[in-house]
Amino acid sequence: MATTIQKSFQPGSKEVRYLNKDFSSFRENLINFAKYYYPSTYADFNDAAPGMMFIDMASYVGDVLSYYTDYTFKEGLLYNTTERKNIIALAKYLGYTTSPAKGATGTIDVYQICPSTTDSNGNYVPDNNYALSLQENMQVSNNVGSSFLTSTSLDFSVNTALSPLTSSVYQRDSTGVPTFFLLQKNVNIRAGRLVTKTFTIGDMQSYLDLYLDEDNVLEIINVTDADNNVWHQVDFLSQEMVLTDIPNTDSNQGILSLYQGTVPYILDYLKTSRRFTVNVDENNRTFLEFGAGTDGFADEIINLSSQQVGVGLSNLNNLNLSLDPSNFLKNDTYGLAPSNTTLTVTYTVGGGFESNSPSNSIINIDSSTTNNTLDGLTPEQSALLNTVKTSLKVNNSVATVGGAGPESNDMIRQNAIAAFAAQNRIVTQDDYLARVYALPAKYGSIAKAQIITYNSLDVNQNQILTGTVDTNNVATVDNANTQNYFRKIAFDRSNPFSVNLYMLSFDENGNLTQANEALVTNLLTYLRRYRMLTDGINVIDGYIINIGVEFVITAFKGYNKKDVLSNCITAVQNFFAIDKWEFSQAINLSALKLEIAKVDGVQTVVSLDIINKTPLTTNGGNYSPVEYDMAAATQNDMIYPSLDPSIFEVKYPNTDIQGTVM
Amino acid sequence: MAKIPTTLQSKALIAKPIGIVLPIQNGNSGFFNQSYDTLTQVKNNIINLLNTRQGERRFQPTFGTRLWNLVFEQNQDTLKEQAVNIVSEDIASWIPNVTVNDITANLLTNTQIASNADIYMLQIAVTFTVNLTKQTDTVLVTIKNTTM
Repeated sequence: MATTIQKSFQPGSKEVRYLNKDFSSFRENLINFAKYYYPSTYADFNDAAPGMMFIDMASYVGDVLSYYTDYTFKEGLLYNTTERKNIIALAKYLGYTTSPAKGATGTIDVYQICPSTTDSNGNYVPDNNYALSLQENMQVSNNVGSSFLTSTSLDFSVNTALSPLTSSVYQRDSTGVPTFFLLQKNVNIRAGRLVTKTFTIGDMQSYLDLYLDEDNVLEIINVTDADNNVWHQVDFLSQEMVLTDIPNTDSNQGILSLYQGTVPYILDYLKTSRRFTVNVDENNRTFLEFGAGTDGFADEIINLSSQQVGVGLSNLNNLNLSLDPSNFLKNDTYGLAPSNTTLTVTYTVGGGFESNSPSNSIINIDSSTTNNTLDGLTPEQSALLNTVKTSLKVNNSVATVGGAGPESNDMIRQNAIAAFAAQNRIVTQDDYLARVYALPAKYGSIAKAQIITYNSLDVNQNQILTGTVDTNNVATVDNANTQNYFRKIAFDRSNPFSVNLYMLSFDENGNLTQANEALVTNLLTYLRRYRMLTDGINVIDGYIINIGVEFVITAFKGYNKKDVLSNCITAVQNFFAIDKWEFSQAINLSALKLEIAKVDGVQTVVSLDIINKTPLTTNGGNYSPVEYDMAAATQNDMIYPSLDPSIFEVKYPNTDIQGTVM
Repeated sequence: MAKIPTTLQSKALIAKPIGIVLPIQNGNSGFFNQSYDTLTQVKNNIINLLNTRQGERRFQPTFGTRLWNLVFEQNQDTLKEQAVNIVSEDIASWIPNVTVNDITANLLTNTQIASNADIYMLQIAVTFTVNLTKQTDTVLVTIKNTTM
């Protein structure tokens, strides 16, 4: 018959420790426990005693459990975790998704031959009817198997400062008349080759995961189903808004289409239930995760408003709902799950260190698509166009850089912490600047930007509007003003927390100009996704102060004065290169004098004057209308810009910089 | 003669268990069969030690005897001396409360054991004295390939 042993554990009579971690401490405490509470039941604590085997086993279990408890805790901390699977999961939790590879980027020169024709003056020029228009994602490669894709389209008929075209005579006939020109343009490339994979989907499955075969997927290009519905990539499944491009055409955008040359796309928000996230597992396999399949509204372009943010939310009754300013249009339905269809996934693979290709190595064209058609051409013209197409050549004069393999565990940790700190939103002035400059070029080019966090403008309107501010800071609403004598403004809202974003764009010659409405519209749409909910943004044209430089120098004997002067002008041109200048940057005259004095052959800088160039002072020259009192702004050899953000620009470096050698 | 108090009498008559004896099986009081005298317990401890290979005990990798390594040694004249030395050292190390009086090692062949048994076995006989009680006894441990 079993005997029941009654034991009372007296508080304080013997310490029972719960902090034991290892075998020894467990064993020691178990022995003490047995000695204290079971002195008449067990007495042999020799290591060789069979009973000690049980104490050892219990201590062993305790040690192992402690280890796994510690291990589990350790794996829950990003800094201490060692399993890649957990690092990736924790990084994802902080908003960072690792990439299985990084592709190199660079620029290639693209060449074609083009038949000649004569212009209205009788000069021989390339015939633009045969200038190729190449779509983006032209695939090129080097001889060791690394593939690259062009990041933008390329049109040989366009020649602007931002997309310059170089042409030279390629072939002449027996009389010396040019018959073919060689055209050359640059285009950015990124590592990768296009891969298409189809998935046959059966019954609906919530949170469906689709794994791609490769372990070096760089980018998901698009996902479509059998009904040609486009599925959109989102950061997380509860995000139902995605940014989408709309071509800036007359029919789509009205007045904004005036600027389609520099702003080919208008950004807009698309509300969609067809969405997926992209994830990477510990083996660097990329997989797409789809939604729960509980909502199914039609895709819809919308503008954000209180209707969307407030009553539009399905869970409005939760008054404590937290609104994420990076995406405050979200719900708890997580999107559709595909069912009974075929999904076609197009993506790029490649990259890695091997994609860092040395110069003059990317010379193969694997595939390209042109917009040039043979419609309406004679057989001879068609043959000539085909000849032109086959003449297409590429070469990278500069090595591609930036390619790397999978991120190490440490890199994922650091990047995740950085992503968490950035929060993918803009809070500080630097955040604003970084995000403004990150606007993709197809939405317009922003040359210079400055953020001032207080609103010094006396504006009381509280709706989105555009207008002008005159020199007395009086704002006038004018949605169609295109004169450059006024500063265009765009007020998101009247808000004491507004920030003023002063910015300028580049014109086709690479000179500073005021941003057009299409660019401003895109920028506001773009920033809206990242800014804090309470932030208002006033977009204002910055002042451009055009200047000229006049200097006098003396040269040492034995130097060619003309060469010395030419070198001095080049030095001044470099000093005022617009890439080096920002808003509110003062001109350091001493530094400029030093730059001139450093030119070989210069003996002394006798004088140096900075002159304000305006349409008035240059008799109608095409300068900024801003008149600036340079003398009053000069103190201690520094020319200070205005408090209202302005930037100095030498608009025509070849004529606005003049020097004399005595 | 002074009378012994009743409570002390009863305590002296009730033998206290010391440890667990081998083989492990249900006992009359408590879960396992236990020993009630030192000699029995020490004997069981020696058996336990000699039946445990080094590295076998969790977190006590040095506990046990190296005797089992002899299974793979060549069967030469010095084998018995090696076994005696190993057992002597291991008992002195892990069971210090006994004195080993004698250790004999005998190689058994198939002529000395029952039919269908192993051909070669090593039988260790350890004669020891418990230091505290001065009691003496002998433990027999047989090493054969099926006990590896």
